[in-house]
Amino acid sequence: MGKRFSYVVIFLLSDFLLDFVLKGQSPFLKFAAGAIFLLVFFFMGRSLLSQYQTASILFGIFSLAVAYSTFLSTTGIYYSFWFNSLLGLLLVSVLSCILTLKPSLSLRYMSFLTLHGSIFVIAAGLLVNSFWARKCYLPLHRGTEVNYCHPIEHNRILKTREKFPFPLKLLDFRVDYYSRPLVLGVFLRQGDRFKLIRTFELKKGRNYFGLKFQGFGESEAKFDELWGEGEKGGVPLGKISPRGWAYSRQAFPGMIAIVDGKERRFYLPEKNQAIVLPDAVVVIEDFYREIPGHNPPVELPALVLRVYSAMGQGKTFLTNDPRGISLGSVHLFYSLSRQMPEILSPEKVFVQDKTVKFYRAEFLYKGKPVELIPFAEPYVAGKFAFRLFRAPSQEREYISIVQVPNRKMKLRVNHPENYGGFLFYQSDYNPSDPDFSGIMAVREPGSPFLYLGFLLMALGAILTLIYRRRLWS
Amino acid sequence: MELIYYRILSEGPLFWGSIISFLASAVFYLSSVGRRKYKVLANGVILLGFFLLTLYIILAWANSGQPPFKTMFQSLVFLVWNVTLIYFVLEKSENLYFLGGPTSLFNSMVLIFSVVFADLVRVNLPPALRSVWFIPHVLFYFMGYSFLFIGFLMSVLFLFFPSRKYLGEKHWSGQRWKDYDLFSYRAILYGFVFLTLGLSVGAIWAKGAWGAFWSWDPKENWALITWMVYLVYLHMRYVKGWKGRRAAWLAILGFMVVAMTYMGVNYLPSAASALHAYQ
Repeated sequence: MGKRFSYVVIFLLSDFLLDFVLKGQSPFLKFAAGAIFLLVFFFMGRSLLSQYQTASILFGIFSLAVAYSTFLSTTGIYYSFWFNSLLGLLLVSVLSCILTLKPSLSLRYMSFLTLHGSIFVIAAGLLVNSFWARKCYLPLHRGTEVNYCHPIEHNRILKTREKFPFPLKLLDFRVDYYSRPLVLGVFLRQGDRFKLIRTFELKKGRNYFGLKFQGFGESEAKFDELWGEGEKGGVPLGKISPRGWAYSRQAFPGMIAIVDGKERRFYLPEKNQAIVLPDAVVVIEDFYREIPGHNPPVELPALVLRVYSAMGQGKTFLTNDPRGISLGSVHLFYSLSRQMPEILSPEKVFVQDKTVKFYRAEFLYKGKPVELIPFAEPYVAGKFAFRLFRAPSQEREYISIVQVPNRKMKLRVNHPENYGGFLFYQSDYNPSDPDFSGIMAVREPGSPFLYLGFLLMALGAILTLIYRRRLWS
Repeated sequence: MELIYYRILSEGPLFWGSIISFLASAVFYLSSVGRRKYKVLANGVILLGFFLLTLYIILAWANSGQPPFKTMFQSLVFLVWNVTLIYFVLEKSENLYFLGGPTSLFNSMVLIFSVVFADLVRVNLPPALRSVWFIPHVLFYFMGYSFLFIGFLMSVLFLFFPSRKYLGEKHWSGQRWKDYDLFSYRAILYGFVFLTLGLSVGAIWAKGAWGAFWSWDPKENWALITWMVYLVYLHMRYVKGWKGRRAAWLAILGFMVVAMTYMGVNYLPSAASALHAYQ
């Protein structure tokens, strides 16, 4: 054991020393020096390298080096001389161990040869690529022809420019997004914070707490009441029912609830929607109120209602009006003094691309409190809160249409296109520049070896199970 | 705790039904050690948990229209599903009934833990994961992890439960203590094969998605380290005849590396910019 450790330690010390000496030299010189270095150590420790314990020690050291590298923010270690020499010695040791078994081309050794051989096919591919591969990045702008690229080295895009063999022109580029469903969020109060417990994606035609969701447009939703007769009063907030979350049925986020004895009606505010009360008709005019005297205009979230009744026909009613309004037997009262704590959730609330603050408006109808919560405001009760919001936007696909000589290419992630000896990949884009698309061009002559190597590796793994009893047990 | 409690409940009856089933089966399994009478009941209850979890995954898939393997929460649920499936296979083929208790306990604990990562808003597949390689890659890795977990569990039993040594040749469980060593090796061999398949498929997919078979990404690196640790385990076992305690300790080390690959890499400083950092 001592011999093996001494050998490995001497190798590592020499390796680091050579790495230091060869810093800044050309890749070909480094390769030649590395080959000679490995050859010397092969002849120095031929018998040690063919031992499984040595190979295991090298595997261990290589694993430690790889593990250490994951704690670093740079990737330079993988391309350093010492790292690749260590990998080289490991492969030499593995090969020496294999050869000591003197495997023949028989069925007994089929899985053994396939699996172990694949490692060397992969290594051959990597070696070819390390010399002859070319990778570069093409920044394309819509309508502009580009005949240069930025080389990519060690996974980094360099600032220098290189001539590309043929011109490319971005004809079109677009980002597809997933649809953004309307989501009902259920929050739990913890101290002065609210934590999201659960969300429901509102889908057309499905029931939520006994309400059938009919669909929604860009900024509004509509529910049908489906409650059976005989259900009286509200269900305590936060009570867990077999169907999921139950909550007060006297209010719903984004809805207007009118309670009048046995009669209960529920509305989700919708622009130009008319709500028929016993003594009045209320029409929702808007969800925003413009503050005069500001340029550019400033809007606050507020329900703008136009109420038609015998007492106050055609009256415009804003949720920030401190006096409230009496309409016959109906008294609508609200309070902005009860500003609700801002709900802390992973997402901010966006309503038509505006971040909104939360206010609570309280209405009284025939002396009974009725909650009215504009779209996207929270309804807070007890330890729970409910809020409607749009799901965050998520990218689905980036698509570039690129003109190369003689043809057009449609590039998508996972769907590279081959042209002129290069594989072209949709690499990235700039969210603030819709006319920009980043394309990566890759030429790797070692790829066939690598494809073959990984296929052999998979095949060898399967064969290991089939021929396990011949070799392994 | 309150948050976890509500989140478990809010995941719906299938999810917490499977948790309760796994907890109940753990109790039945552990109380049936040395007695046969709860064996059928324990197997029935774990089967119920598996059935509920299968339904949960199918519904999640149907609701989102995407395979639910992307986020940490989804992958933990899928891991439990795989571990249970493999337990059934081994119970049938190798009569490893004794593993039912720890497996059920592990399943229920992982499901409860998973709600910490619960997906509160649906997370869609980003462009890079929208590929035909996604399902086989994930499936192979999770099958591999599940086999390696079973191998780890048997190594723990072998090392830390020496009373099992006194299991007779004709013990009701049909097992001998020294069998755990052999079963651990077999489970790890299968696990290694699935890791190799996952690694190969992942490399071929990476070439199509990112233009390189290997990018030295933290997740890739730890997957390589995992593969190498088990490679050494199998070679030392086969070629150098490592058995018993030494092999068991190596199997435990291997599973710690699996845990690092699966979850630990997300906490590395380089994780934020990593190619595999999807959430």
